[in-house]
Amino acid sequence: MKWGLVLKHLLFHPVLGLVLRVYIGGVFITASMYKINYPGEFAETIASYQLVPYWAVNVMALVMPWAELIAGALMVLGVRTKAATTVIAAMLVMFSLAILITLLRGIPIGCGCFTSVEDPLSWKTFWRDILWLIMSLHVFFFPSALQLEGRMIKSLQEVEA
Amino acid sequence: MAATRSPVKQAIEKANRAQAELDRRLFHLKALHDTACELSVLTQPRRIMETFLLTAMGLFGVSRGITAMVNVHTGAVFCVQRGLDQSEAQACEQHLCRVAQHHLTEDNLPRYPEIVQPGRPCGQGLFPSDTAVLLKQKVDGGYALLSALGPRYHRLPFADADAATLINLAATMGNVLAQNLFHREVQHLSAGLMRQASQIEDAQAQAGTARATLDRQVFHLQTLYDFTAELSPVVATDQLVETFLLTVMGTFGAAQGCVLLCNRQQRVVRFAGRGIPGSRDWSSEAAEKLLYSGFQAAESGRLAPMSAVFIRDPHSVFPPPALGFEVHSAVLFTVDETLLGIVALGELLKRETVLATEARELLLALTVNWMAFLKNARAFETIQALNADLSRTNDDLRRTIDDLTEAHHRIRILEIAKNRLKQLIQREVERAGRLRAADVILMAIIAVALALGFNHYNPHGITLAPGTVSADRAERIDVPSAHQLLSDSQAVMVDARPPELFQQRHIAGAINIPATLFDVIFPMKLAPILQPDRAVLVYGRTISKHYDDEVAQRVLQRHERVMVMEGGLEAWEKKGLAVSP
Repeated sequence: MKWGLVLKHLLFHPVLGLVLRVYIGGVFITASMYKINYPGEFAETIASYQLVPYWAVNVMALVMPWAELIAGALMVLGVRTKAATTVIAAMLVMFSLAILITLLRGIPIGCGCFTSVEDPLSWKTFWRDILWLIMSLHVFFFPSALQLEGRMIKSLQEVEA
Repeated sequence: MAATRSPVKQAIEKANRAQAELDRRLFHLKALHDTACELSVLTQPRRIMETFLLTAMGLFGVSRGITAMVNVHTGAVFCVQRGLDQSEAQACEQHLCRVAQHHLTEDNLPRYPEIVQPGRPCGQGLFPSDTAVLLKQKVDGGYALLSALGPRYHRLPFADADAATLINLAATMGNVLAQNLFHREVQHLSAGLMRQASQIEDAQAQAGTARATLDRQVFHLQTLYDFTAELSPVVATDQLVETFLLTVMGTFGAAQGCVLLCNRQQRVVRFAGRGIPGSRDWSSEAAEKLLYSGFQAAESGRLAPMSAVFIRDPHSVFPPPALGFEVHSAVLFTVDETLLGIVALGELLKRETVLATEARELLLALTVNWMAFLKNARAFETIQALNADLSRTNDDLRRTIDDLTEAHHRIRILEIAKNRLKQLIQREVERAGRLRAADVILMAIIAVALALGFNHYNPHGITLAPGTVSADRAERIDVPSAHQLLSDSQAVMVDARPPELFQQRHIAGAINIPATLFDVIFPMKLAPILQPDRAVLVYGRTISKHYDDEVAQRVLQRHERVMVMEGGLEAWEKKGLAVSP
């Protein structure tokens, strides 16, 4: 019982929220860096999944890394956290589904999550994304410390008072 | 004989008695005459009454007597007595006083002396009990004269002749007393007249003095009035000083004159002079020194505010070098503790060595009056200064009000901004805690904008549309035709897919040339076997990528007969044709 309470306390602790927020945000920022610089390679990666229509591949390769960067940055800073987390969670769901489909289809391709040269796609990659998705849901539903927006609003409220 | 002698004797005796009677009458007449003569020269009532009493007592052989003169109006009693005790005399005096108040009036007094109860004792207590004869008579002037005589020697009674003589004597005394009183009254009246005449003379003298004083005061008042009327419209201190100096010099006929006015607080000295050669600038220290000399020689030790005082011996106090002329008269004045000065006049045209008292009073009055105007002028200047200050303050106030209005305007704007900010904060607070579709859309828009912008400048940038869409499409060929060409060795089959997919499954005999490695693999694998008449058949596409078109377009740059096999590997396999592995 006591351990249960401690675990519950740790699970809902804002610092844990902060750690998960920074971790997931950092992962997405890191992942976006290479893709932003080399959109052509990312487009090849997207195409290798054989899920996106060919006319949408380039657009997706251009926009998705920036969405990852913006959402990751907002998530780390704690600005519009719920919206950023929602975007990230949506992308993780999309990635997980893509990986799952690709694994089931048996297409031998690399993940392309961070760079174009990676190990071939595996179930490990899928469960990793599922774990990140759970972390994102934790960030979405539970409070986290050091949110810039919250502190700024608190300061504005103090100035207004 | 006896009978004869008896008639003769009787006749002789009768003659002797007649002779004696005549002698006695003669004696009485002589006594009356002598008394009348004696009384006529007497001037004092007391002496007259004493002479009467002594004459009567001697004439009738009486040892005691009293005469009293009573004023019937006032009751005053004046007694002269001989032979009475002191107590008897006082008792008589008191009784007579009482009787006079109640019983003696001018109406019931006889004009001529009357004997009251002759020969019988007088009333109890009024006169001594042994009074033999009592006389009462009226004396002109409101007096009653009462005379009482005691018994005669040998107890002889008062005969009629004695009574007549006594009445005559008393009448004589009454007349003399009346004359004397009248004379005294005349003298008294004369003295009163003399006194009144003297008083009238004194009153006339006083009236003359009063008239002169009045004339002088009228002159002073007229001068003061004219001076006041002249000063009334003047409000400037300098003009007041000039006007005062001219008025004073004109009034007293002075050839030279000056006014020195020193303001100790502001350390300002004003000097106005007339008939003085040259001009001189007065410093505050020099003026203070001059004023100090004046205070030392002032007639009054202490000088109250709004007062003036003459300076003793102004010739020596202010020698000619001090003020520029020989000072005849000088007045030191003090308006208040900070404003004081000196009025000095030179030689007068009348050649008087000293100003008359009236002139001194007038000069002091003019000075004091002038000081009132001076004070008013100072107050006016103060008011003007205050008005100027007030005007400046008003300007400052107006500017302040403008600033305040502007500040108020700013505050209102800031209030509006604050309210808007408040609303914004509230809105942001509401937004911060919840998920909004707008935020997601905004993030997407920003991501698209940044992506397009960055891609435009990125050297590794790509096009939005895949390159195969806009390029010229290679010729198409169906699977049986392609198989026929391969079978006839008229074509080479190229798999354009990535190596991973090629290795997974491909058409038997196909050469894998992925687009990404085209420049490397084409010269190695395809170029050596490529002949101009042989066609290059390209296949391999997914939903996401048209590898066949991409590779075909690149091969077309090097070879003319390039065709894309429609349906790709799937169509090939459906035809049951050979694949590997």
